[in-house]
Amino acid sequence: MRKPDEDRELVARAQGGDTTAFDDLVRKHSGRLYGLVYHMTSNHEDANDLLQDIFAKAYRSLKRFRGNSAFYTWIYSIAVNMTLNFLKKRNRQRNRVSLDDMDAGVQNDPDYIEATAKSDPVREANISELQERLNAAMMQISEDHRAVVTMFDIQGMPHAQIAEVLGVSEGTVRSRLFYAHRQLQVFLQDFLTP
Amino acid sequence: MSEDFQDLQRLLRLKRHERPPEGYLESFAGEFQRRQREEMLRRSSRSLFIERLGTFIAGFGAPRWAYAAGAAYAAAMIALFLHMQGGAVLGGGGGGEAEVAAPAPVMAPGAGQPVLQPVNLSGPAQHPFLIEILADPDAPRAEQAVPVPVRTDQRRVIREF
Repeated sequence: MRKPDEDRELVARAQGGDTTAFDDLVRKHSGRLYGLVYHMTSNHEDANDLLQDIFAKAYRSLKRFRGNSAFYTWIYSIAVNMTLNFLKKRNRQRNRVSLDDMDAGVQNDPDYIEATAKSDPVREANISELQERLNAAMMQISEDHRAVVTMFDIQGMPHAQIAEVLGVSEGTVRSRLFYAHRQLQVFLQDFLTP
Repeated sequence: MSEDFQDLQRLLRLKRHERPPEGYLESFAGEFQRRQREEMLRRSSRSLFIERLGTFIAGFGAPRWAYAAGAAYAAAMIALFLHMQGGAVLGGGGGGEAEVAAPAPVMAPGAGQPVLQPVNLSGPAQHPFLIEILADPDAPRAEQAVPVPVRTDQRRVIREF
């Protein structure tokens, strides 16, 4: 987990008009923010466009950032809100899926090895089938639930930080996770241990 | 924590291996700069000005209601100014005519007869009656004004008036 004031100097320089400092912030946070948006949209092109918009909005609003929270938390809040708004609009249209490839390292991941050892369906399914099923299950749950699952289960953020990003209590985060997990267990029943 | 839940988390964590195309994140910052420049060129100077103004005002750190109150006050002042301007324009249109209009005849104290007052003819004489008088070389001028005898029946009408 990042220290709260890790980005303070870069933020202060960017607020003073140093565009290279903001470029450094973009480089530093684009990876995790891309992951957040991608896992919520299941679409690479949408994630790319949204990420551009998120950084553009953060750049325009940077003067208003007073450092009451970490820059990381602040820009995460912008990203979650913009993605949720985008998903509300997109759901009225057609749901488009454009998945990134899984990297080769997945075969050596202890989680994958254990999952294949314990579950025949996981072992029998190839990687891309497993990926499609996981994404289909994620798209079945609500956007709010998907946001907490992405941050907690996929990105490993603690409850307190998720609560700060979403502007809700930790209890709400735990409650959303509980219901999201229950739904996902139903959608992925055949991949889980009987 | 149930085994089902642990298995579910294990599966969800596999999604971390979904990665964007190689080189995507490395080129993202450059792409961001290019789009920013494009947007700057595409946007109108008005929208840029409004955004800058918003950022400048936000720099004061005042609460939102203060901006709303300030905007309402400014709007009220503008409305008041425009209203006063409109009144002045209407008043100014009648002023030209009032400048050349002859004052009403006044009664000389104790004389019981109206006395003609000098007429200011320096202003623009737009009234048809004045144009007619000015065009008449025999018409009496202000400095030549003489009391006109008033008949008894006319005096009664004037008194009743």
